[in-house]
Amino acid sequence: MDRPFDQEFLRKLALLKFITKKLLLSGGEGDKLGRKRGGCIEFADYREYTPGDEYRYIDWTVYGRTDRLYIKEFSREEQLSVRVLLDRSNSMRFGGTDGVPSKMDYARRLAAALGYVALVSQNRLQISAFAKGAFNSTREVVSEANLTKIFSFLGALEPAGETDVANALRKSALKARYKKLVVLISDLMDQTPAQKELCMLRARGFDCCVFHVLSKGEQGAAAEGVFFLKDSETGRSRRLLLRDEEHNRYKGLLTEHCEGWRKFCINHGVKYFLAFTDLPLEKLVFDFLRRGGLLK
Amino acid sequence: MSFAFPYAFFGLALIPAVILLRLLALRPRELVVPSLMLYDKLQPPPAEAMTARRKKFGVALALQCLAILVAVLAAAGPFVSTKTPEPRRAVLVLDTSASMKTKTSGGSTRWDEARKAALDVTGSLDSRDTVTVVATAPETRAPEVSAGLTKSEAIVRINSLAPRDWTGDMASAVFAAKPGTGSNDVLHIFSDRRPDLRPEMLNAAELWLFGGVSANCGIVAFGARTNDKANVEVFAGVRRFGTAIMRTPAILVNGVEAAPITSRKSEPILDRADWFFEVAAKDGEVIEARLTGPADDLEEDDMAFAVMSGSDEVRALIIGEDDPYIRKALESLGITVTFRADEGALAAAEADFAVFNAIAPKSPPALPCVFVAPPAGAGFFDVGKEVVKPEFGIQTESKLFGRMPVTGIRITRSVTLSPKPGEEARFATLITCNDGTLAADWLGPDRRAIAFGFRLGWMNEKSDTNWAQFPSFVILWSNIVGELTGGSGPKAQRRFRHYRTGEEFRPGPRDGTKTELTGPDGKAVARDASGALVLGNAGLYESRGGPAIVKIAANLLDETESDNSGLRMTPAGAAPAAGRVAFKEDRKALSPWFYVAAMALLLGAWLVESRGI
Repeated sequence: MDRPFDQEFLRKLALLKFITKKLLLSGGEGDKLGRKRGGCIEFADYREYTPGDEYRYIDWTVYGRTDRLYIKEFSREEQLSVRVLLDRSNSMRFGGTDGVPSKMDYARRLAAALGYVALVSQNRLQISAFAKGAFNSTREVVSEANLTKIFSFLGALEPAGETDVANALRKSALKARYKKLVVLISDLMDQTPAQKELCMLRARGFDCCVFHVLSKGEQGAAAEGVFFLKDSETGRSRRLLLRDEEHNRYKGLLTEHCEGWRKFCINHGVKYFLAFTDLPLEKLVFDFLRRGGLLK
Repeated sequence: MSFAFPYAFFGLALIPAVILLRLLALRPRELVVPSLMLYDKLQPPPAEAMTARRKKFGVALALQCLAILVAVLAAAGPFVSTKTPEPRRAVLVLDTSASMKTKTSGGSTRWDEARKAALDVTGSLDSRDTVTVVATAPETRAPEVSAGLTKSEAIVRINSLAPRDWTGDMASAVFAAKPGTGSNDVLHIFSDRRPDLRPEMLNAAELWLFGGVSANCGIVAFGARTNDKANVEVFAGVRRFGTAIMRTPAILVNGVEAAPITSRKSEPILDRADWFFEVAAKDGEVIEARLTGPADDLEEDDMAFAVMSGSDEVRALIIGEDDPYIRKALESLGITVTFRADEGALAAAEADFAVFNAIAPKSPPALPCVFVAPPAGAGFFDVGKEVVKPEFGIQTESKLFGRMPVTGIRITRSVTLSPKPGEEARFATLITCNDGTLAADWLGPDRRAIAFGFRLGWMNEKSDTNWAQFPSFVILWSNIVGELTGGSGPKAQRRFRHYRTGEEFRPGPRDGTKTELTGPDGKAVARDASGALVLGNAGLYESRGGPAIVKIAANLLDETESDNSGLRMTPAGAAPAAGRVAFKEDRKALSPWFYVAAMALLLGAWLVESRGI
């Protein structure tokens, strides 16, 4: 995955920036305007002088016109820290047929695109791939020069193990020294509910975004008959008679599952995107994410 | 329904293969899913659903197998053929020989029956058929062939035919018709005898035989001549019903010795070695002739016929059916023929039977036999009660009375012949002339012989006189010269003692004298490899070997006449046989319908399986 996108796509990506409701200060100077006033770099506002303010920030021109003392305030550009959590469990292997990428490939490209946006915007970026018992992360990088490393990391990922979203969220929250934009890319096929951890992140001031990646064929097997259904992650089997009735029931359950996540995210201020792998990545990034308020 | 490609039925092996594959497909398959998280919330299938699924599977499988079966049938090329008969050529060979004039029991002649059958066959033909009518002719003439006739023309032609006083060469007639016969021809032969043809030539023919069982089956002809060596020549021919191929033309027995007193010759005359024809003669005169054989070897209709010649005028009495051939043959010899009447006319023919009533006292036997009377003279056989001796105690007078058209002979006494030496026989009848003078004449140089007929049933059935005790029978009176002694049977040392002179005749050795025989055409009769004279033609033969010229009626009858043995006889008036008929065959293929049926079955299987119908 050395060059996952063409130049045109990259050029478009370079024009995008993350939108966060909270200004996230990561310490370094980036393209995000911090809430902290003062400092320099970019004028932010005026305020009336109060004793103790530095005289040098008094705008004498305004004093001359209004005869009142106003202090000029400046916003300091701060770096946004983006943490991408990429599900690399075995269930992400599915969906790669007929030119449609697998969930893993799709998630990889999505993560690469978001990472590119982050690094081009002088934001901090850290990508973690997780599964049950496995949590691999890149170093938090800032420069565009690290794109190759990021792409290589993503390209080397192989699906394996069980999904464990909750643990990944927990780890990302525990290790974070400052607030971040946490982007979760997963199919959310997790027996353990992860909503609690997501709430925890939100409570700590993290901005969160969930990409629910599903493959089209995952909406239900078309075949009919008696099957031994085998879980790709746990290897567990179950004998089931699949007919139209069962297929419809499964689709209903899947819809219910997705809808549950969507409602949860909306209620907790988390951006939620349901992305099927047959949806072109360009459309997702330049259309849905911009309209969804993640990028601008 | 037939199949053009029966090898296609090997395709039925697909059925078990399909069943096996379907059963394998019925087994649960493994399907890897990303996660069972949602599938775990699905309920396991109910038992009813599984049962319904199995039923659906069974019905669908049955329909599929049926579809394969129908498809295989279609691939085998089923067809239905309809046959339309091609025009046929019917060949009708009609026997127009003289024997066809013979009346049948129904009163009509054989020819009437044959013509009626031929017309029936013609009437049953299709209008497109053609008819060839062949009328037989003697061997020296070509058969009359009328070919290419339509039905109406054939009917006219058949009605124009009639039997003639000639023989019919059936072989020539069939050959005349056969070369033109094709596979679609049918050959009908209307005759009273089996054609003397190879069986393969008759395989395709329908034989219509109208002769029935005839009585003119057997001939025993013998003749004697006198010479200084007292040689006797005997010609004998015997034929019987029931023997399919046996042909016994007249056998010329030469060299029967009549040295000084008598001569005796035993000769196997049939195909059985235990049959003997014996002749005893004295001074060139036959004084005894006998045919002996085992009792169980005679058939119901066997007949012996004898003609003794001693002068130019011979009379014969034939006990049997009135057969024009016999009559014609005998008449050609100048023999006056008197036939026995049939059973219904028994009373009217009392004279003929009277002779034998004297022998079979209780009831006249239906004997096929021949009685050769003495030469014509005044008087008659007066078979009166006064001449019958009471040895036949139970006989009644009424049955004994009758007249014969031969005068001067009276049955005056009965004698007994001894079956064993020194023992009197139980049965014999002595016939003498009325006045004794005639009797003397009978015994003189011009005396005539008496031939005989026999029938075994006569012996066995008339047991009231204990005739069954005779192991073989001797019924011959040759001028009634004496009594026979010395036992019975072919091996017995017979002696014949003249009743008047007391001379005893003994068999003597052969002298090997040869005679010349001249046939009807005046030419000498040739001999075959065995030295026997071959009598090839019917007619009167003359034997020249001494002072007397003996005329011998030989080979009187067509040997194949009325020889119905070994043949299936189609009764007159029966439905004609179809023969071998070629057909034009039209085939209607059924494959498309079978293919449609197979497709419909497959559609049904699909509907059952996918839609649950």
